[in-house]
Amino acid sequence: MAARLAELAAAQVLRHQRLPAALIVGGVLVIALIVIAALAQWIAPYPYDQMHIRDRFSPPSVHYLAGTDEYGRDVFSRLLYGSQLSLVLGVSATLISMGIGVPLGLIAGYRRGATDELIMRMLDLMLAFPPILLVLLILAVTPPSLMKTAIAIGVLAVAPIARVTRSVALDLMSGEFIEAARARGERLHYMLMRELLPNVWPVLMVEASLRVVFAVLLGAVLSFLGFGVQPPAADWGLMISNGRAFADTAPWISLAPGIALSITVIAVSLVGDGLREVLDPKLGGR
Amino acid sequence: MGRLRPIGHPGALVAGGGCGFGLVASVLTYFGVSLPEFYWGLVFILVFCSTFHLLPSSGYANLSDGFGGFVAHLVLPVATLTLAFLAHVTRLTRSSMIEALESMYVKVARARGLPERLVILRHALRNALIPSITVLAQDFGFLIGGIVAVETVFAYPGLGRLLVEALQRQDLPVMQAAILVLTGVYCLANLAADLLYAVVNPRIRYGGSVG
Repeated sequence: MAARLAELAAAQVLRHQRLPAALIVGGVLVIALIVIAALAQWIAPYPYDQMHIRDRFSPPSVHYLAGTDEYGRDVFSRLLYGSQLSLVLGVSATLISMGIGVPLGLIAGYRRGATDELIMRMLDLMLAFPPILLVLLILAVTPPSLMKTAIAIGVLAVAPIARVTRSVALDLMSGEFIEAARARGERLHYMLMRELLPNVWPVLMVEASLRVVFAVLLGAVLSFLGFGVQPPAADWGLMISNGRAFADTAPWISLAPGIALSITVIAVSLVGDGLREVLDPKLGGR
Repeated sequence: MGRLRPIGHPGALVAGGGCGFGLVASVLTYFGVSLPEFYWGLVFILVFCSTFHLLPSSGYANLSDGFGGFVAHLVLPVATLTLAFLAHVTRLTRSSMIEALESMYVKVARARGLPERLVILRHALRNALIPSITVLAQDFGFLIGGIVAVETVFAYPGLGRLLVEALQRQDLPVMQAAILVLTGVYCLANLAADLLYAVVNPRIRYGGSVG
C-alpha cells in the first residue's frame, strides 16, 4: 500500500519534477534515526545503565560525548538507546490508532446512514475529553509500561484518524469505480479493502506522520510526569525530567535529550509536509 | 485561562505580504512545535532565572501580597504555554492569509481604493481567521494538557498540578473533580469557538431566525 505512494513519487521524478526538499531532508533524517535505533546496542559506547561513579556530572568530553548524569551514566549512550523507545512508541501508537480508526472510518463512509451516525457519535464522545487527560486517566489507574502508554496514546488518536478516513471515503463514494464494483456485486470487505483503502491510503500516510509526531511528544510529556516508561529506562522524557534537578550545574543532562527529541519530531514533520506536497502540488511552498 | 495570542496574526500579515520574514517564521514555528511545552519551560528557567536572575523560577504569589509578585510568577508559565500555540496559529494563519490576499474580494477592495490597512484588517484577516478559530478551540484541549505539564515544571499550584498529584496518590475524588472541571471548560471553549464563527463571518447564523 505504501507502494502506491512510492509510485506517486516515482511518477513525479519521471515527470522531471523535483521531489520536495522537505521530503528528502526529512526522509534522510528518519532513515538515519531508524538505523541508529536498530544498531543502538552496537554503536553506543557504554550500556545505558552502566554507572561510572567517579565520573558523575562530568561535562561533555571525548570520553563522554554528551557528558554524564547524576549516576555517572553516559548521556550519549542513553540518547541512542532512547531513540528505540521513542520510535517504538511513536510507530506502535500510530499502528494501533490506524488499525482501529481506518476500518471504522471506511465503514462509516461506505455505509452512511445509521451506521455512520452511531460510529461518529461514539467517536465524538471520545473527543469531548481534553486529549492528555484521557491518557493520564488510563495510565494512572494501572501500573505503567511502554506498551500501555502506546495503547493509551493510540486509542486517543482513533477518533481523528477515523474522521479523516471517513471524509476521504465519502468523497470517493461518488466515483465511477465504486459504481462499477457495486454493479459487479462485490462484497463489503472487497469494497472496503480493495476499492476504498488504496485510494484513501496516500492521505492516511500524511495523517500517520502527524500522529507519530504527536505520539512521541505526548510520550515524552507522560514520562516527564512519571506516568510513562519507568526508570532506569533511557527514555528521553524521563532523562529531561531527571536532569531538571541539576539544570543549574549540569544542563547537558536535560538539554541533550531535548535536542534529540526535537530532531526526531522535525524529521517526521518534514516527511509529513513533503508527502502532502507530493500529493497536493497546489500546496507547494506553503 | 483564556489568554489572547495576537502575535500570530501580525506575523502572518508580514509573512502574507511576502518578504523574507515568511521563511524566518516558518523555521521558527518548526522549532516551536518540535518540543513539548515543559521543555521550553526548562529552557526559560535556565535562561531567565539561573543565568540572569530576572524572574522567580517557581511557585505562586498571592495577589494580596502585591501585584508585581503575582505577575512575575505568571510570566514564565504563560510564555511557555503560549509558545506552542503561537507556532501553530502562525503557520495556519499564514497559509490562510496568503490565500485570502489572492482572492477576488481583496482585489476588488484594492481597486475601490481602500487604504491598505482596511483591506488587510477588514477584508483579508476576517476571512483568514476562521480556520484559526477552529484550531484555537481544538488547541484548547492541548492547552489543558499543557497546563498539567507546565504547572509541574514551575511548581505552580493550579488545577493541573492538583490533578497530577491526585493521580500519583490515587486520590479518586480529587481526580474526578479535577477532570470534571477541566473537561467542562474544554467543552465550553468549543462552544465559544462555534459562537465566534458567527461574529467573524456574518454568513454563518445559528438557530431559526435568520437576521
